[in-house]
Amino acid sequence: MSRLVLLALLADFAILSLAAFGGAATIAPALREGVVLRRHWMSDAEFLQLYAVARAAPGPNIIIASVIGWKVAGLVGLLVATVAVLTPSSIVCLLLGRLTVRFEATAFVRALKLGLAPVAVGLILASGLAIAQAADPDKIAWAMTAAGAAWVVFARRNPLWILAAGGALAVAMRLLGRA
Amino acid sequence: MSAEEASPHDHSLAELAGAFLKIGLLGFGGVAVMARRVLVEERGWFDDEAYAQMLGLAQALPGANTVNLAVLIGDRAQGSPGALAALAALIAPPLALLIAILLVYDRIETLPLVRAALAGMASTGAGLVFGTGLRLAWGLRRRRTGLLFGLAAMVLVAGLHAPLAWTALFAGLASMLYAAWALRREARA
Repeated sequence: MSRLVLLALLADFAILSLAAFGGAATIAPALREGVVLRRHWMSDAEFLQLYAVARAAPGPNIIIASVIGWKVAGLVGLLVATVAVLTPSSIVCLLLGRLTVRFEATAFVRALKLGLAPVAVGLILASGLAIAQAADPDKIAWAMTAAGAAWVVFARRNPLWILAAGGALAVAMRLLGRA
Repeated sequence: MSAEEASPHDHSLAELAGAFLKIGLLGFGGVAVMARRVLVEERGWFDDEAYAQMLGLAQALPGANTVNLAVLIGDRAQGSPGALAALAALIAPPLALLIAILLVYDRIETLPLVRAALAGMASTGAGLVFGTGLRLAWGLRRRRTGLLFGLAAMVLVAGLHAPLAWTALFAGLASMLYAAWALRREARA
């Protein structure tokens, strides 16, 4: 039984690995569908909680897959899920990355790199906006978002300072609101 | 050309692991912010323009962006062992930390102050991600027209809620065709 679970983890996540263009956000709906509805490994609420914590915690959000493996089958599940979600995409990335280095001087690779760069930048901007849309309920929260953006653009200091300040400000407002 | 410029991507295994360890462990609210911070500003391994190109490649390949960056940069420096070292440093420590957080999460999640702090960090973090995009866009200012494809992708995903993968595919293809045309025109001129 547990071997079947591990096989299912391996197969499901290896396929999702190759579909995860951009990162965990792209495969989150498919992950949820597979883990909650098809495999019944956890409830919807449990999945959403894991996803929320994985996003708030440091590190690439793709480690949500590892944590699902851990919840489903302990340490072995964690290892299987991690290897499954990272290996296929990383091998493709390694091989195609080498091709782009080898054919660096060709017109095709130059157009590829020049063309893809602005789109990647646009998608980073979009992800900042999407997080803000979900995380900012009021004007104060939007002001904090604006402060974060201004920090990166104008200050050369570590972004963790403004992140800590944002957290501290929210805590202070909460305390004052209570008082 | 200085010796440093002759092999700018020749980082040791320890340097690779150190950089990606920092990106992973300090990458709160989206590793994209810390990845640019460490690789461009702190280590100076890329300027914004070269970094945006690397990111474009990482984005277009399957797999999470920062995971792919670790593979691409690690492989370029030290071959497969480099890719593995960068990837392991990026993934393993945050994973251990995440599991530790989950073990106590049920007890701390309901605390109102913890919730407030997380909400404040999420709002600020969204701005950090957006600001990182702005800095990278500035790095691409030499090719202003090309940036329109990035603007289009942003509006499609954030404004019109178009699916990210399809937007990346079509905007990427259109942008590549434009870049190929622009390069040919420059070569002729």
